[in-house]
Amino acid sequence: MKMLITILLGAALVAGLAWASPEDDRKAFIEHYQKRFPKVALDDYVNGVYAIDEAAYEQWLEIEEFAPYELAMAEGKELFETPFANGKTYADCFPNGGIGIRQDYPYFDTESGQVKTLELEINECREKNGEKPYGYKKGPIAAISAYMAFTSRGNKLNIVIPDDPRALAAYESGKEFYYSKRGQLNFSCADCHVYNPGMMVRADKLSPALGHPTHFPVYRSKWDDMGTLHRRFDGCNKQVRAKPLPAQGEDYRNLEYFVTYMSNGMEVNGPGARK
Amino acid sequence: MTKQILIAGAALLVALSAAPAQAADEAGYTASCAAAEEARKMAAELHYEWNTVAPLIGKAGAAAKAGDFAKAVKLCDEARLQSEASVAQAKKQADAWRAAVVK
Amino acid sequence: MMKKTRLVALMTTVLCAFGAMLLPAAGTMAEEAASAIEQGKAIAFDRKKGNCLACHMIATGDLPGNIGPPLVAMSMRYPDKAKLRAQIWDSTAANPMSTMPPFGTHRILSEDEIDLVTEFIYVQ
Repeated sequence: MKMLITILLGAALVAGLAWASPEDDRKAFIEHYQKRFPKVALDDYVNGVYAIDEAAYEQWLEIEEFAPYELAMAEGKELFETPFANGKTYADCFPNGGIGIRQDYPYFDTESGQVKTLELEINECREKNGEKPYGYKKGPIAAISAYMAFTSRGNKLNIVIPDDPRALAAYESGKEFYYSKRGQLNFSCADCHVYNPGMMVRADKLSPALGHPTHFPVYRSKWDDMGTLHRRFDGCNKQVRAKPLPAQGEDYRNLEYFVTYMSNGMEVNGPGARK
Repeated sequence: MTKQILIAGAALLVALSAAPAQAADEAGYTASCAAAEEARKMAAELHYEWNTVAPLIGKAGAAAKAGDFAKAVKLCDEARLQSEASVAQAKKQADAWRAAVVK
Repeated sequence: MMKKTRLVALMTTVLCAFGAMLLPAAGTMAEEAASAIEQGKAIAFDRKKGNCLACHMIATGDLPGNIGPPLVAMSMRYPDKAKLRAQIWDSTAANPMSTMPPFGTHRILSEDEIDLVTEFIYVQ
């Protein structure tokens, strides 16, 4: 399988097919948005839809003043600092004691040959220390992730695709997912967030994909609750009438790998508040 | 690569299993819903199942329980046809997505 | 466009008046057409059915989206009603990149429902 991919990629290169490296993809991605919204500064995309919606921007700033995610963040900090039954803590599982590391996730783990996300490793940490894993979409995992994101605010996303054909294959699989139409309504992620950001679906403005992953987890008014990025993937898939795939399953992790790579170099500003 | 083979196989199976119209009785219901479940599984294997399908099969089960086999057959036929459409979608998107990539 | 619609309406009235004398069925036919348009409108506006307003502006609809073009002057844009129907049935047949859901091939609406929606959209 691995060799086959290497051969295929090699063949594509030799044949001069439209083979684009992740870095080519990212540059083209940024150019696409800059062409579409020439007045929006690149740094502003971390604000999601509010970067392109002046009317809602002011309102959003007010919401951020009394951020609805504060409570979850405090809860997350406490959970993060409370030792497990065996006396260990989350800090023992992560580099730098888990502080200021959000920007390095997801990453490709060459040992297991998989994309590892922050939420996946939070649960791996729990299980390693004899604790039950949390659900992946909301609740304590979103709270802990929110706290960890908060300690990383201002750090720039630094997603690395190591020189390993499996890593590239994971990236490509995420890219394929992103651009494939799904569900009975036949929408791809890109249909809305690449080709139609700023347009209205009824009264809702579509957000740009660039900057999407910087502010997760988010407190969403529609949920009246915190949710992880995979909870949002789940919701998007349902909206197009596709059966959602498992949170933290291979598909969504690879998708996160691709999506986050596209926002490489942008500042982490999670957790965020969203409509 | 395995995905391509899976898609080709699923598409072939769908073509071969084009189910005949079922009678509105219990045997018809069993056959129609078995075919629907088969098609749903194919779509699920491709990670392309629609969230409209399981509810149709669920409603068919309820209709059969209430003795309305005509309705149950109709619902399962719809579930099968939708699953076949989602398998066709998976097959189409396996190539089509490339054209959508930002370049 | 307005002129054309009015003309059509006028002609329909005139024809119906004649028809009423000559052919008792003509009145019923006009009523049926009007009813098809009304039924089509209900399906088009239903969020669980056509939900056309999610993406298109339509004259009498509230809170339209704008991902798709406004649905105006349709009989001029689609002189051939069958082409309009085909677009609703599966717009990706003509353009694989189209973001419009394939209402027919994906069984979002039934054949009959698509006929009715076509009647409604055609007179926009």
